[in-house]
Amino acid sequence: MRRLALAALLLLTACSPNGCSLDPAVAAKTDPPAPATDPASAPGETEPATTPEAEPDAAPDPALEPEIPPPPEPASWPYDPSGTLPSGSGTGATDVTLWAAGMRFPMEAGPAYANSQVYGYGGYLAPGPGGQCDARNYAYPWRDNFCETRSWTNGMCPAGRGHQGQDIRPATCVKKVHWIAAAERGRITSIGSYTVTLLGDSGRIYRYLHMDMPGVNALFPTMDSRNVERGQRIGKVSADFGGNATTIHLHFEIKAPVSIGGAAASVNFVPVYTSLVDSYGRLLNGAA
Amino acid sequence: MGLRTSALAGTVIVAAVLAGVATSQQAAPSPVAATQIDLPRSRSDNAALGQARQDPLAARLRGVLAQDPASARVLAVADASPVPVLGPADPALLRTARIFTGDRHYMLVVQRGDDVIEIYGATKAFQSPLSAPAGQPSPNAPPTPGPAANRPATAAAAPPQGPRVLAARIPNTAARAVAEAQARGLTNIRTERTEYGIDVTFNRFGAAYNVSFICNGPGAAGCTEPEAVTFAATLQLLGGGGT
Repeated sequence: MRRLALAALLLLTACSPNGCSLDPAVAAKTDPPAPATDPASAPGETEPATTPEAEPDAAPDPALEPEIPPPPEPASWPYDPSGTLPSGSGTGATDVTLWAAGMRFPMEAGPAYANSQVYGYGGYLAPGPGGQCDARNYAYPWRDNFCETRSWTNGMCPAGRGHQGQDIRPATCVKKVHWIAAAERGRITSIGSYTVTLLGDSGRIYRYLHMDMPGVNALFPTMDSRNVERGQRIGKVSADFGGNATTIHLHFEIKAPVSIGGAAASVNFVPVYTSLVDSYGRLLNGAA
Repeated sequence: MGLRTSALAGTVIVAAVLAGVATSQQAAPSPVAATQIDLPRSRSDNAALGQARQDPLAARLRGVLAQDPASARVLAVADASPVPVLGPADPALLRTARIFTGDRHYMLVVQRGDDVIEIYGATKAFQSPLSAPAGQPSPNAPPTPGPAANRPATAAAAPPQGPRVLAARIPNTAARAVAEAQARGLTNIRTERTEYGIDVTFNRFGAAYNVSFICNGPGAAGCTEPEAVTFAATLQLLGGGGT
């Protein structure tokens, strides 16, 4: 019976936070990554047992124990699922592929609000009266607007056309204040009248629209200055639109060569919302 | 005593298993990241590339460019690229060229007046694990080879959660330009009106290409669909593509 009790205790202590699976394959999937192998240790060698800490003689008085704060909860924010567009604004992309895994969120700091410029307050198809600085535009939840009804061609949209990127408002409704960051290391290949193109080392093409263009040109006055690191400041959010008016926001899009099914690979606008959710989560949790 | 010990041990085991089950519950699975694949070059792609290397027009263009130090540098970079580098046939335009290369991709950027033209090519692609397996054509994939002209965009049901690409509608006015582009070896030609101009995507030599015209908005002078397709069709092989 003592053996049985000992076996039970061993089983209890063997349980990782991920469970008590005895299947090595499952354990390999759920355990944290193993550290690099120590070249000094031969395969099969066992590590020397660590000396257990001495047990205190008596149970400490809980009142005297220093209070250990619980680990902080991961920061989160409300967001609508990928492909779920606000009613009346079109049909979203069904694809939830993370097309730009590890991408840096394109604004330097939060909060930021992903939602529509056209179907939001102050837009020309707004749900009601209100200006672009309406507090409801500067609030969660995030809303996907890739494939939102527009005339632009977009083969990734159920309608064959739609918005080719995601609109993101900065923390406040003020121009030329909020920094925009490079999504990955690469080169700024062109600066247009309201576009900035970043060719990432991965081969993805990132395009940023409506930035403060004089500011961008001042940051990158020469071709040699246009190599950028991931997260580097590349300009500020504004409303530049080549002489036309738009709201204060960043239009962010990604184009990349994609191979889908057995079809020939083609260079496409890819749904970007999933990658933005992923990168914003990391930004909020200090791991941008 | 024995019975009590057995009961205790059983309780401990059940508690341990329950604890394991409880803590093994994970959050909803995260979205699946795209992976990268090489784009294979078929025998006919190789033949087309070999033919393009022998094209007398391309040879003359290279000769002209070699005279100019800046253009010669662009040619040297293009030659080293594993991707067949396409560039405009106009030497004046090529003198404004800057070229950027990376892992199985390149971008050649030229300035045409106020417009920027970005010519991008890749011999790799990102692939979604959610799409149909390779070798099984996606039901919504654009037809290949051939233009998408006159094929209306459809709204057929997409595979659940997987990506899809619909064929773009190309107006009849651009159909002639598309036909000429096909005759020059371009396949899967699609045009996309964008927030800043127009894009043309196509395949050639087994690689995937995109030409972005960044203009003063869509439909600006020099940025119409026929003009964009014609520009893409007249791109010349500057170099690269490996052996």
